[in-house]
Amino acid sequence: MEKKKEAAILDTKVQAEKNAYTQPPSFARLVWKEILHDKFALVSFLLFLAIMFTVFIGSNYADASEVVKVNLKLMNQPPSKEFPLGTDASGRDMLTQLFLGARNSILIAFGVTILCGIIGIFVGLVSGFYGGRIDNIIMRILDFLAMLPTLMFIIVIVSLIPKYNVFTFIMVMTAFGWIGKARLIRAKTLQQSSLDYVQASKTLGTRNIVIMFREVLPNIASLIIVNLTLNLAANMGLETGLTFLGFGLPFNTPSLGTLIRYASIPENMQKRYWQWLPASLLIVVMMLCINFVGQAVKRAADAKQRVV
Amino acid sequence: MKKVFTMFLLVVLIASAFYGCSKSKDNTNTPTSPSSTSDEKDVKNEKEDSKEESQAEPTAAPHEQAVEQAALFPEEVVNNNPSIEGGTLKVALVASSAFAGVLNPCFYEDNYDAQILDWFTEPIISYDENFVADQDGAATYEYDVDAKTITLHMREGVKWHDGEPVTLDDLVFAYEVICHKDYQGLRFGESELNVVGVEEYHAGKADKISGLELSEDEMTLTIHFKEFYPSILVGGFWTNAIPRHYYEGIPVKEMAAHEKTRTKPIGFGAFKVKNIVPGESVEFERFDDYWRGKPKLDGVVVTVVNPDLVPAAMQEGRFDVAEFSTQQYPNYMNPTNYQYIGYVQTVFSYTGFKLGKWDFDKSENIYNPKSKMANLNLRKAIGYAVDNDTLAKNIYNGLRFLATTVITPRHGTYQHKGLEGYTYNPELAKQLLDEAGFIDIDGDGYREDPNGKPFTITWATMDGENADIIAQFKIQCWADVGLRVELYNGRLTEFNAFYEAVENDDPAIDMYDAAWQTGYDPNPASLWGHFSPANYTRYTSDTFDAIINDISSDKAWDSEFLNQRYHDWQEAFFEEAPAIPTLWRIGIIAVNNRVKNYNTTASDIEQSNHLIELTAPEPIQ
Repeated sequence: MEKKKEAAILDTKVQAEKNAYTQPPSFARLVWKEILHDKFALVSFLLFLAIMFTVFIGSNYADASEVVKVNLKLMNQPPSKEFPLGTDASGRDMLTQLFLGARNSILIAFGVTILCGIIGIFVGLVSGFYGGRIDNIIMRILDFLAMLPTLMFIIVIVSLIPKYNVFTFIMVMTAFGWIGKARLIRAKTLQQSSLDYVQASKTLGTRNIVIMFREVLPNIASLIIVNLTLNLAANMGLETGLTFLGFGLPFNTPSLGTLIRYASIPENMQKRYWQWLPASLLIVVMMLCINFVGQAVKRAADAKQRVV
Repeated sequence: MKKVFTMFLLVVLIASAFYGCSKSKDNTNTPTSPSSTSDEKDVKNEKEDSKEESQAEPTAAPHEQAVEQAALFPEEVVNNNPSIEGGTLKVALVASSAFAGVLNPCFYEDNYDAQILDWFTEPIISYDENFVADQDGAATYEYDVDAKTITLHMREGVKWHDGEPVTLDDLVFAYEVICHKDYQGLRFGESELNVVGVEEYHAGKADKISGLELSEDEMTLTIHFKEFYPSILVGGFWTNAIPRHYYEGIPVKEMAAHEKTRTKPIGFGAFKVKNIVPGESVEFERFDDYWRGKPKLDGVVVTVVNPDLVPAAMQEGRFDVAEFSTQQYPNYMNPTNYQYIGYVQTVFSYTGFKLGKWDFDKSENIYNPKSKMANLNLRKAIGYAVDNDTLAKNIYNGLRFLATTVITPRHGTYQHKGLEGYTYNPELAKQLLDEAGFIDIDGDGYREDPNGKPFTITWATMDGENADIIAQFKIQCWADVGLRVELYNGRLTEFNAFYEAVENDDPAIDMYDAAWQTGYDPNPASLWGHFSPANYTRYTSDTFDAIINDISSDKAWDSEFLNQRYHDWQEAFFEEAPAIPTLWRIGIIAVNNRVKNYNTTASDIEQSNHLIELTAPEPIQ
């Protein structure tokens, strides 16, 4: 008993000494260091930025209503000077479609990730911080929701909504996406709220909401960021997958999924590489980029894995 | 390790991409791949010739184009190899969705079910190449114009699949089902009402149909008609018997959904149903007691396959017979293991307008002159706005043609060849809309209705091969003349859901795109008549009624008069435009080289399913 106390005191001493000499680096700094150290992550990061930049600038120059216009005289043209990536079965330029499609897919992925993050953080924090009965009720509801066959529900809802576009699609996907996030955050919050600083803050009379968002949240922020980054890739995949299966965005809203869907026709797969290959490559590259960066962020958030 | 793996993945992807490139180049560089038989080559050459011709002579009328194109395809497969004993024919049912599986001639509603029905049952009367009833069927007939009767004589030895003999009482039963007041299918219409006593029976005033006079032995039936006109001999009376003993005790209301219709149907055709996987496949086996003779095949398997997958499936030899998409045909003009046969279909596609309601109690169409699409100029403008010719040439590769009337080229004798139809003329469309008061007030590029309110048309169209391209193209065409058209529910509608909604007059639908396969008889009564539930537009008019009555009257025995009235009818249809005929089509069927004696009319007019043979145990790859 005595010894343990001593050790604890010693520990805190060491900690205090360290603090006195070096300021602990901020999370952003750690991430940046980690990325710089990992060449793969660095290249991925730059590549991803470049892609985003090109897509958003490029799609600004494309007239959305003009791009989706069917032109039966230009069906299935191979790449040429006029159409650098050829045209599809309805005579639409693949290059501008790729820009718009990538933009839509990225918007959806970001939209879903951010919305899921916001809802997840709120529900998770409330549940984990208050604990007890509130936690119990929220968690039972979450259990129920998590039990539902998500993919099937999304498909059913998508085929029932009369007018669906990028916005409604984000909503539908968010409706089922936040559950996992809330659970994760709740677990971490539960852990944090038993720590001394929360107790201290409570004793001092700080309002709960302030403790939750100003004190607990920053402490679990790194974890949330890691989780959201990796989720970004997953959400992009979910959108593409659903659209590929025909339950995603409608015909005249290009997305990476609708573009890849051209490959579902055997002739296109065998003979018209330009219709599906660029979008497929883009998605692979983007997913890998996000994943590599995500891994670096993950290492930065965990002292044991940190390389730098 | 992870990094290495992802790099490997990238390399594989890129490599496969280049492989894809080179393959496509190969295909474009080789002019013609060697084909196995000379016949196929001929077809191809002819095809190319015709293309040149049609380019040189773009003025050929659509009905001539149809006949020209159809002549390029043989009607029967060429196969001189010795045949094998038995074997199972693998038939593809080309559909984007599951088949409904209402396997009863009185109740089925779509062509997929009809294709399945063809394998196991047939009408008791057979028809010649002009669709006129002849004496080669399970029953023979004679008619008496003055007495207004047809007398049917059943052959001996025609048996249902369960061994019971087919009698004319089974035909009477079919009449009793169709004319029953609880019957909700499509078959009850003017040609049934033309039989004496049907009206009373339908109203529930009589237990029997008095106009059906059955002999003691049930092998002779005399049908008394109210009016006796030529259409009656062209499929104008009901000839599909259904087994009374099999459906005994089942109320008419429950028949369509009953398992005896859905999973255990019987008929008296060459094959009997062995097993049905609902919506997916039907397995048939040989019916040894088939009255025309024992079928040569052991069995037939009909399986649903998505149209996109047909070419690959045919090349791999997964099917012996498959309806081949005219859209994919140009990429597969020189098949090595299968051949094409073709024919002009009695099908026309049309854009219909919802103009009223079906009155279930009175069994008639009620036209609503205040409905949204009731403006004639609007309907005509919608017709003139769409460039169907470009659609036919580019999407269907010239195997569909601009339809000028609702009478197909297959019924050439009655066709009004002088009609131009709704050809592409956006300027005229705009002018018509201006005259009708549809003017763009707020300057957003779309016209407002005559009251100045925003005007949006809801259009239902089916999902299918390239359907989204076609839908988008048409919406563009309409937008070009200033009409805002939106898809029903914001998307293409699945086949079964589409007909469900159109049939039940879903008020959300203003306009729909559908197609009819007309029966043998081009008589408009069944598709556009006042009392026909299949008249989905629900449009009625005095001119229509008068012409249809004339066509369905004894005056029509005068063929000149009949022809005149058919011409009048087509003109009236063009003028009143309850629907815009859009496309006629040639159907092509891909048949594996192991199949013998298969022809395009196999189940259409001539019953020859029992003669089909195979020359190899498995489909040739």
